[in-house]
Amino acid sequence: MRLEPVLLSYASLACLALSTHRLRRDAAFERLPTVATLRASAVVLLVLAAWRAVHDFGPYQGPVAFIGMVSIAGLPLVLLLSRWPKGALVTGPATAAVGLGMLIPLG
Amino acid sequence: MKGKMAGSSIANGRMAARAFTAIVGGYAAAAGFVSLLARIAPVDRAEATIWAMTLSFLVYAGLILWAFHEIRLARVAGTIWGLAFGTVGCLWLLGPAL
Amino acid sequence: MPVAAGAGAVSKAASNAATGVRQSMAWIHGWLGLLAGWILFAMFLTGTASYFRPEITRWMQPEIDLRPVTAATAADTAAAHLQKLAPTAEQWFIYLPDARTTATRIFIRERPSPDPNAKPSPRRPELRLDPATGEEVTARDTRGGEHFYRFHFQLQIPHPWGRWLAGLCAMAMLAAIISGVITHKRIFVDFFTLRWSKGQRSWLDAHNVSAVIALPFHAMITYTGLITLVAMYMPWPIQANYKDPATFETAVFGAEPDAEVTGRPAALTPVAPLIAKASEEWGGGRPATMVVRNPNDATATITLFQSAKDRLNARGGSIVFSGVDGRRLSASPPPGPAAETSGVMLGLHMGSFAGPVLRWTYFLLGLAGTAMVGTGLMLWTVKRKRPGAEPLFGIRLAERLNVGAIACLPAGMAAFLLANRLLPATLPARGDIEVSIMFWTWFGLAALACVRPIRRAWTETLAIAAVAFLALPLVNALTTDRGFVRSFANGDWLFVAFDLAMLATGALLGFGAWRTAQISSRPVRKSRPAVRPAKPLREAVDAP
Repeated sequence: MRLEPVLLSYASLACLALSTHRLRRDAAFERLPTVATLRASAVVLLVLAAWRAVHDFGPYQGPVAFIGMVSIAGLPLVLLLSRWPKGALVTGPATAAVGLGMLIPLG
Repeated sequence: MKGKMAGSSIANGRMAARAFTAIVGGYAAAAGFVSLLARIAPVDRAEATIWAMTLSFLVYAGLILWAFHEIRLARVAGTIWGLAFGTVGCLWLLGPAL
Repeated sequence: MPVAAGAGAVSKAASNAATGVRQSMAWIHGWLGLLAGWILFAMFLTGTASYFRPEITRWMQPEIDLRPVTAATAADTAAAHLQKLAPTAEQWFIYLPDARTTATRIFIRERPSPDPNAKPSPRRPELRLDPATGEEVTARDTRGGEHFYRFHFQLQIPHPWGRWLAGLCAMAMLAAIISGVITHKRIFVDFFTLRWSKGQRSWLDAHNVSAVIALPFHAMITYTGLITLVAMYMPWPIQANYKDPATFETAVFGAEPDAEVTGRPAALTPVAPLIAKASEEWGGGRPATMVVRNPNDATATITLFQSAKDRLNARGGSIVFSGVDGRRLSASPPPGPAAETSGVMLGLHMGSFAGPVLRWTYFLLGLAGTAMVGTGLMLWTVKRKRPGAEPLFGIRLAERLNVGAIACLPAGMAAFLLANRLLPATLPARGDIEVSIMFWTWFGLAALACVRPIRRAWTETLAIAAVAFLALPLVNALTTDRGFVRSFANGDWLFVAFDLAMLATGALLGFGAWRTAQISSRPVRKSRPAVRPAKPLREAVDAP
């Protein structure tokens, strides 16, 4: 289905969200990774998403797909955070795992 | 800017003049400006024409926003209508290229 | 500004200027957004639906269920049919089918009579053919997805005014996007912030989130939308450079073959081999349209236009072949950087290159844009209402127009689809009646909503729209043989997806109705002036 750019983008945005001040204060998690770690993971996941988008959709449609899919991934995340902030902690790693898992057989 | 909305008919008239300058004058100025650029740009005619058409809306949008940002109405009207008549005048003097 | 100001004063002045810019931009953002907002909402929503234009058309003609064939076969069968129908026409237009549009469409342009006083022959209607056999396909008369697509930039207003109004609104949108970005200083901090049930604060959050999250799409779709009609909106650079605009068109798109008909008959060359030749020249690109000029004449030519279905640039090249011996005569010039840029902009707007995953991405981004406009409109009224005070006429009007756009337009769109299933298939002019029903429902419901209390109006119109969408799968199952269960069993995924999309839309509208009902059942803002401020009260009610 070529959805791994969406999954990786979602995970990346979840990392970014968890690194913001407001969420760290409101969600009151224990042993949350440091802001620097989260930001670094976000960048890595976003780069992977961009690479997959170009790989799946070609050099011309790839960038279009990447930008569109990052935006699309943001919508469910924001809706989730608005109701259940801790959800980011659960769904972020889960989507990262599925997205990265989809990369393995494809190489 | 909010003060302009309130009350007197003078303020309403000035607002109408500003909106007219922004929307109609801005269009004329943007059209004249990009057409003049297309006419004098030292590149292929067809390419220059398409670039001018493609970028014209950015110029128009910029002029609209500036027309409402700048407080002095005389300056807004002078600049925008000046640009419109100036560029169209130049184009008229130059005549079509092909 | 004082000349002898120190560094601190300069930076303070600069920050004052920045604040001034932000204030004026916020002001213009609000007014541009309001004045163009209702039309923009309709443009965004119907435009978003238009990403599924061929699919909507296929759903609206459930009688047609064709098997796909190769482009060469479709071209052959269409040409054979046209030979029977109009062997001496001036031009044949053949629109080849693809994975999404399954029928071949043909259009015939008759040769004008040599007698200048003769009445022009009536315009022939477009016909649809089964690509496998070349037989005409008959189905219920409908505008299909074409209606939403046309409305999206013509607004059902006579030419050219509808397009001009749409263009003006698109310009307002562009200026609103730029001023909105300037206004919004904490663009990335607010990225993840959405707070429910906090009145104005919630609408601002929702507006910010829907705008910021898909900002690249909003900016792209607005600008490229203007580019789609640039030749109409901004023809002046062509006027400045060319005495005759046709010279410009020839320079960009290549010369059209324009040979006078000789009257010497010559058999038309087989068209299928030309498809293969063109595809080879385009490196595997597919032809979308075939235009035959002067068929069966010694001057016959066949022009093939490249499909935009597999490339970003929506303006494909064209190749002209001789219609007598199939020789390649000429081709459109390769596009320069500017032509390529504007072609890609066109392609980005239409999204016809997008496969299923990207098309759904486009669709969801379009919904985000619709939500951005809708929440902006809501924010405008909520922000200006004073708790306890009777709102001004302008605000009350804006509130009613909000109901009319946000809740009643979806109801009208659902009515359009319901009418397609409920009107008899053989009713004369039923395509036009479907369109009328959409507008009667839309504006009628909006008028009715004006006589209801505002909260009730929201709940009722949203509920009606929700019920109309939820009824669609049921009505489809009762009136066609392509209901959900059978479609699922047959693997008819278009109809399955359509039913699911209608249910999801209905559920979303139903959720809106439920939320507005919750809010209106609270003891807030009765017509009698309440002394207590509304905001803390609402929060108290909302506390879990």
